[in-house]
Amino acid sequence: MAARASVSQCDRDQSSLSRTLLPQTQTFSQCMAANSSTFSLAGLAQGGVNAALSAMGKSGVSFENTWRATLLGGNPISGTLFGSPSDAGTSAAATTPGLLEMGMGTVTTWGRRTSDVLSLNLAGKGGLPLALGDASAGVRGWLGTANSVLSLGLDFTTRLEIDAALSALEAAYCEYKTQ
Amino acid sequence: MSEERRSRLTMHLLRMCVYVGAVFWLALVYLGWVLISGSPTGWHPYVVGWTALAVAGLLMVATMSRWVKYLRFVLGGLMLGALLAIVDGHLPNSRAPFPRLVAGELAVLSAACGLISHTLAARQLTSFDRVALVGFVAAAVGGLFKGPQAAVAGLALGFAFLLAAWVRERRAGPPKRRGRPGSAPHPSHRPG
Repeated sequence: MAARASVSQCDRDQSSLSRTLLPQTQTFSQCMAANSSTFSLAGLAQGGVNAALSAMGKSGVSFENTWRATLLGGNPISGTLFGSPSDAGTSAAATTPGLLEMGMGTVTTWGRRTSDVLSLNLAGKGGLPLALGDASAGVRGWLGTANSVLSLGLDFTTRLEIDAALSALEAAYCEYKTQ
Repeated sequence: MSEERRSRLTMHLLRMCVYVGAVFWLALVYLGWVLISGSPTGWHPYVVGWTALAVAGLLMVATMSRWVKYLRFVLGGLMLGALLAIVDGHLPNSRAPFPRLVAGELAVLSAACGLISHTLAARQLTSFDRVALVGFVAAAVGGLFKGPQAAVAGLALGFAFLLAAWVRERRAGPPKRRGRPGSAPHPSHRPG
């Protein structure tokens, strides 16, 4: 009985030793999940407020995780990539049409049949060939309509663009911290 | 880069700057509120707090004709947060549950306010519009600082302000369109 107790004590000691002496390793995903609220508009605003309060010799405040801050300044992109599967599904469903439409850009032309620069013209009849084809223009229009319906014409892609930039910053930070 | 693409990029960047500016403006108001509502040891925090609130108010009124054009994008961001809360049951970056009913009400109200602000952005602001916009911001921000139910009530009151401005403009006749200084007036306002 005494021997079993001493073995158990030894295990506990070893465990606490490894916690205190060995370096705490953090994976990239853990780092991204831990810092998602810091790298959001709410986190940036909190940093600004705390810098002002610190300059006045007052203690800082923490509001980046309050409902009002996350409602206006949370980062849904971090939630999509590093949150739970249900979060990912929700965010993706709401944001995919707008993001896809932005990603597709405009239909470009290459090679020409009617142009002033003769050396690049192609022999034969027909209009300008489309690099992505007519179908892509149709899909892009459909995605634009879907995005307008989802956002009721309010275009919330503005917020997503900011969140995407902040997520890129967060990824760079976590890459640096975990390398 | 073509001219059209460059102007679209500029517009995107402007929208992003206004959205970031709106969040930092709210942070300035919050800073002022924290300083005047705390337990300060001297007069210094009171002065700084009231100064912050005064600067925030002046900024809001002085730049109103500019930020009103981007108000619907700020409201779109609010609506995105509310929509995510409706489906998830919590807000982005937060594990705390958020009432779906409140989120739904916030989404509907922000959409309605955004649609009316779209009409305000397309015309020159009258004195009545400016008063209505100050009322909208005061009601919406005041509600946000209280609680979720108060946020709904504040946004509903703000919607009433915007609706009043819209109804008044509809009754007053054809709108005065926004235009650059020196540009030709709207055809409906040409004399004769």
